Amino acid sequence: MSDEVQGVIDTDNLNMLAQIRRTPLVLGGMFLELTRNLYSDSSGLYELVKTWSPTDEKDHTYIELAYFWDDGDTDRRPAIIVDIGDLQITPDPVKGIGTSGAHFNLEEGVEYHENVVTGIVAWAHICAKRAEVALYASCTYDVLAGLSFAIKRDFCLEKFEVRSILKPRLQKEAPRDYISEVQAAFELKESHALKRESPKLKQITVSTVADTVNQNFNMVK
Amino acid sequence: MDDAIRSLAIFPNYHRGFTFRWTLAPTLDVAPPWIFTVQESPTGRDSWMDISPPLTDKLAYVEEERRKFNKDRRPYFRICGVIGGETVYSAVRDALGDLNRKEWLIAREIMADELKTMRGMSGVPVTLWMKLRTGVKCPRCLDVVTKEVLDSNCPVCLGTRYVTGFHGPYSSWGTVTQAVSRKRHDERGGGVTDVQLHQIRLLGSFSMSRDDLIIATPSQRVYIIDQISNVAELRGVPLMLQCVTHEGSFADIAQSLSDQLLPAETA
Repeated sequence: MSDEVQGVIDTDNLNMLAQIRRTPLVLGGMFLELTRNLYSDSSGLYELVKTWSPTDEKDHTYIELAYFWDDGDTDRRPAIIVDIGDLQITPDPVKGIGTSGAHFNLEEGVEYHENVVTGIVAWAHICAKRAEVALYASCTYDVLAGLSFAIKRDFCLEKFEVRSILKPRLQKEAPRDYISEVQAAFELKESHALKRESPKLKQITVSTVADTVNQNFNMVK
Repeated sequence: MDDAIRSLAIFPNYHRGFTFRWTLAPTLDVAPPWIFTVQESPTGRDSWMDISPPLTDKLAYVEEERRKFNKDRRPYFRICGVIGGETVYSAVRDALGDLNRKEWLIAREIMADELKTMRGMSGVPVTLWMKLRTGVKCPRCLDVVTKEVLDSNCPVCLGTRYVTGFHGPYSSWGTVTQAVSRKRHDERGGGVTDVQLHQIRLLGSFSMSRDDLIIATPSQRVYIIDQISNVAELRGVPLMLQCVTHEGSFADIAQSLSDQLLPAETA
């Protein structure tokens, strides 16, 4: 990612970021930055597709997260709205432990939870013309499909697949605009640990007569 | 090319003379400039004389002076155009157009009352720009196969498909209401939209359509037409128009129309 987009990165914060749970807002931020990066350089885009500008200049593509997109009374077109859909969270079966998605370290008093998160991320393209919105959706699809493996790897996802392109339709609430979505499915694993404040369990060793005999036998050998 | 000028319509104008408007054939493939002149004849057959200055790239004209009407005199009009170096003429129409004299006087009365209200208290002078619907197709932004517009902010056609984009300006009066806000959340990924719509009432003299521009001259606010309906009409002749518009950014549109966007003289 270019410096213009990310700015100066504090490595301490980066480490912290690695430990942040990928909530919808964090996921949205990830895909938003990804999209802005992809649209920052015209060389990877179709002809006539406008680049994204960090200064919100006119004659550029507006790219924003659906949570924060508010059209107001301005004409911000063309626009790409990144929207994180519903997330499905299921416990991840841990090998040798069971299917609950949780296991315990009784000695340290720590519970470990692991979940599999699946969801859909949508890039909604909003343009004034039907062909224009089809052009932008095609461009986004092309870039995402081409980079899907890299996106999966860089974002530590288990799966990232472009699933569908929805045909242009008139936007319901603002019928002067056309909207077309590119949707991708993703899957990731997230885990967290919960440390109990209660006293640690003591380790109890139970030895039997047979154990003692065995130990003596080993010493003789 | 012979039928390049079509649909000449003549409207009464209480305040001034007649309002003329015409259209061009959709198959016209000649680049501007198009120069038109409104001509008048007492017989409709000969003795044609120019009653307007040369109108470059305009498809409407409002006479400067109010006419003193003689009930026995029914002048005839036509539009003479120079398009691509070739001189063409519209069909000849008489002053009353599609209406008989009584209907024409009723139409004039309705428009006169409306104009009086607008000028007296409720309206503001507006400048109208209309989207071109014929001409030379944009060489920059049209899809090679479908001929659809791929760039709504194209500097060549301004997203209209045709080179130069708009024709105008035409001056008129309009009543602009305050914005009605409709804030909604699009369930299918469009985020929150805050659609602010203005209702604008206009005289029916000009044939307005979706995507045409209305500029409120005093405030320089630009409104883009989304929907339009005739609220008063007589035998299919629109007398009053009601437009649903959204506000555009003046800077963007001024930049697009460059120095053409000088306020027209108000009617």
